Amino acid sequence: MSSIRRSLPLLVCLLLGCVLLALYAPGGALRRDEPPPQQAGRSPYDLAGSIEDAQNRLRGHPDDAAAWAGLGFLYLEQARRTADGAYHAKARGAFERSMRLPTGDGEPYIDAVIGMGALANAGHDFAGAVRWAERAREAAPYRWPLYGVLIDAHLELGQYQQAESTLRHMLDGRPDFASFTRAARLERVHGRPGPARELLHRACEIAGDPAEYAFCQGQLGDLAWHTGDPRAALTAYAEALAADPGHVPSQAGRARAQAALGHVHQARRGYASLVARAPSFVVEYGELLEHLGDRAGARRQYAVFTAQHKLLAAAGNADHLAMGTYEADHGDPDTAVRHLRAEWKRRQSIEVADALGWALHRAGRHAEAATYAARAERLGGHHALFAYHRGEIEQALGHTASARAHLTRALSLNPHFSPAGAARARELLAATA
Amino acid sequence: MITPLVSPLVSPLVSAALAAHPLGNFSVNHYDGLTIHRDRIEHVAIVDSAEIPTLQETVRGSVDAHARRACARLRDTVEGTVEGRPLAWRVTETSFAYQAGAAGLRTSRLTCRLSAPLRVDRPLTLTFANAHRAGTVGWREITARGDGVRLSASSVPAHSVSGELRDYPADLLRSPLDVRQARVTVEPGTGDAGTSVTVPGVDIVTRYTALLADRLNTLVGADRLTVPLGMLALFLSLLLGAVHAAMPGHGKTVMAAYLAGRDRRLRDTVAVAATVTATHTAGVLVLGVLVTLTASFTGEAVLSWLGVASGLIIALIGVGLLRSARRRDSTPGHGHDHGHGHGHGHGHGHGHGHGHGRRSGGVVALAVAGGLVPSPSALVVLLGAVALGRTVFGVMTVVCYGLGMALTLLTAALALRKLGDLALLGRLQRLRPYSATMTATLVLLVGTGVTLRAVAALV
Repeated sequence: MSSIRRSLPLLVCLLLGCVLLALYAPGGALRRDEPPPQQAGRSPYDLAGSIEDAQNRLRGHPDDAAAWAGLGFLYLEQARRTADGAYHAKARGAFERSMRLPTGDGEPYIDAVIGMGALANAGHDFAGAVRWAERAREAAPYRWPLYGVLIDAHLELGQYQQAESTLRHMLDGRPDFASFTRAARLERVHGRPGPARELLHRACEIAGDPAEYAFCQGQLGDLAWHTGDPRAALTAYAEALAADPGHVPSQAGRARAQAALGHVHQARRGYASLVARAPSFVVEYGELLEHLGDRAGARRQYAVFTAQHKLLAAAGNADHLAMGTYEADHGDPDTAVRHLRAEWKRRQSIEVADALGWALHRAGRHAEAATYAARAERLGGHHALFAYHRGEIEQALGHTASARAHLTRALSLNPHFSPAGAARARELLAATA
Repeated sequence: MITPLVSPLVSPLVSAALAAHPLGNFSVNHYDGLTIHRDRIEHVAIVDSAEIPTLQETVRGSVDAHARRACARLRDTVEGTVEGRPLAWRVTETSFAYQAGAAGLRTSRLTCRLSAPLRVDRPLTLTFANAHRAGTVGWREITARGDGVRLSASSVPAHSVSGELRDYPADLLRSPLDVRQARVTVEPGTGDAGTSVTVPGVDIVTRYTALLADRLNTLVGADRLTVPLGMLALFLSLLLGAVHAAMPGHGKTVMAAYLAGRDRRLRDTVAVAATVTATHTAGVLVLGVLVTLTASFTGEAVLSWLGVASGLIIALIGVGLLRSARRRDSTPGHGHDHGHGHGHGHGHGHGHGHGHGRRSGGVVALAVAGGLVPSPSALVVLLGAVALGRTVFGVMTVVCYGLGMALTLLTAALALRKLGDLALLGRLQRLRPYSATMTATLVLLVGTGVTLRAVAALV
């Protein structure tokens, strides 16, 4: 009995202890010793996770126009990152769904309209992109992302004046990552690598996520490459790939720079793993293989390119610039001229002017070629390859002095601009010395 | 807000899905179908390559030779383990075929059948990973099913949603599958994963208890633990303990019957309740320490063993009670009540019995059995608190949990005793001589039941 009497107070004490601890402990025992762990939410960089969240939300709220537009952009980003065209179709579906949903003012949801413009750019329908962006501008002139779409389309269409005025407007309204990187691109078009580099550095400082950081580092790498500094390019690409190991343009840039620095095995390995994921670099890889004497290997890469463009053409989405460039170098120059004339009708950009001039030269029409090459230079393209093309054309026309000047400029801009082209430029310079 | 088009560079044109492939025409799509038999695991690997990769993959020599080479390569990139040991895959069958694709090009389909020996004579954990062409984009799907064995847990479904890469679902709200790993627990027997039997009546109580436990967990893990919050958490754990004690199983209900079946005083009942609380708290704490200290420690197995021990103790007590009841029947009117109360008090207080200590020992043993199996929810709350650095608070919640259990037992016992008194006033008076025997039988039956259930969970 007595023991129970003794155990009863014990029980009461225990209870009291509990109460006292709960009352006075918050300063001591109840406080955790560790900082609070992060919430188990999605990190903003987890694209697949963000897509999943958006999908889940839309399953519950299928009438959410904003969520549909957001999902469309996520799909578009996924398409860009994985170079996977299927996501374009998904993005289109999401944007169209968003636009069909009623909003308060009867107008379609504005981000979906901008998204359609971005999608048009991704599908190389630049005129369509301008139309979408203008439509968005009429409805919501302070929705800044629309100007990004508009600038990209103008740049691709060769409308550099409009691109510049739009950019100025965008920079005034929202000086952010999107406007800095576009400004850097315009500076490059005008042949001012210094300001371009500065703008890219600023963009890198305000990059919001690893993908953005990888993008601007990749751009810095490209800039270094085009100004003849493969070592600096390699450093920038490594930086980009550390932030986003799946960044395809940096993988290509790294392989290109490695080849220029004589690390041929690394370059070949890099290209081989790259083309398994993103076949857009097969021609470049093939050219390296051909330069190294592996003709069979090069032919295999060219076959992949041909097949890829057969598929694109079958889908009614032919890329005349890429096909024309390829045909001029490795196929039939007359076909190349046909493709590029068609492209020139659509857009008069530096790239198309240079490609058409080169194709005409390869087809033996040097005089006409010279006008396009000159036009490319007048528009801005400060590019070693373009200078080399111009030099070759001048040489064919018998203007040796002018040819030498252009060839020298090409090699001084970037002595590694193309494995075969750089060697040929040196040969020509030696022969005409 | 998502920034549209971060990159001002227009990417190269990529072709959209023209044909059946979900990821455009340079995707390499993988399907791995695992079938686990009692003596082996079979793996059907299908690689469905779209037009571009088909072109990139050069076929030298005959198609059959190419299939054999490709499957050998695939085998080297497939990793399977059983209980941490690697599985030895063997290629048993290969095939490779071209199919017509878009724009006059071809797609290809490689099928490899692999097999690895395995003996499913006890629960096994299998892992599987396919790193074949890991750098390519494409659909990646894994399924797992058992044939003659039961999958008790699986991270992948049993059936392919793409019809083994023949019909890819096209849905705006579904991303292509990208499953590269699987984890499966397999055990002898038949049936599918997740076929645990649920008792309909228990279901609703379990659901509400789970809700309470969740609430408690969030409270314990709250960013800032204020006094009212702390009190609420302790009260919740008290409530949870009470509900837990009211649930069937674990032999706790027996105790109430036992207490009601004998003419006890309130103090004795309180002592029993205290023992339950102490045992349960100690059990949870010990288990918590073990789980925290040793990573390889499997809490489930220990819980099952404790269940067996608890059941055996109850059953033994039942036997003892039966014997004493018989003896009492043969010598009615013996001064039992007097001896009992005395003996029990000592037995509990000093931890050893004397005189009639056998019976008091029985009570304590029963209380120990009742508290022996730590409730998983209490354990979870404790571990959660420890992980957050709130060890002391976690221990307090566990103590309150035990108190809650004790409270329920006390209430039940009191209620039963009152009921018993009422019933005995009526016609059931005649049954009085047998009540002790009936209680003992009940205790024995429940003890046996608990033991059997725990043993069944172990095997």
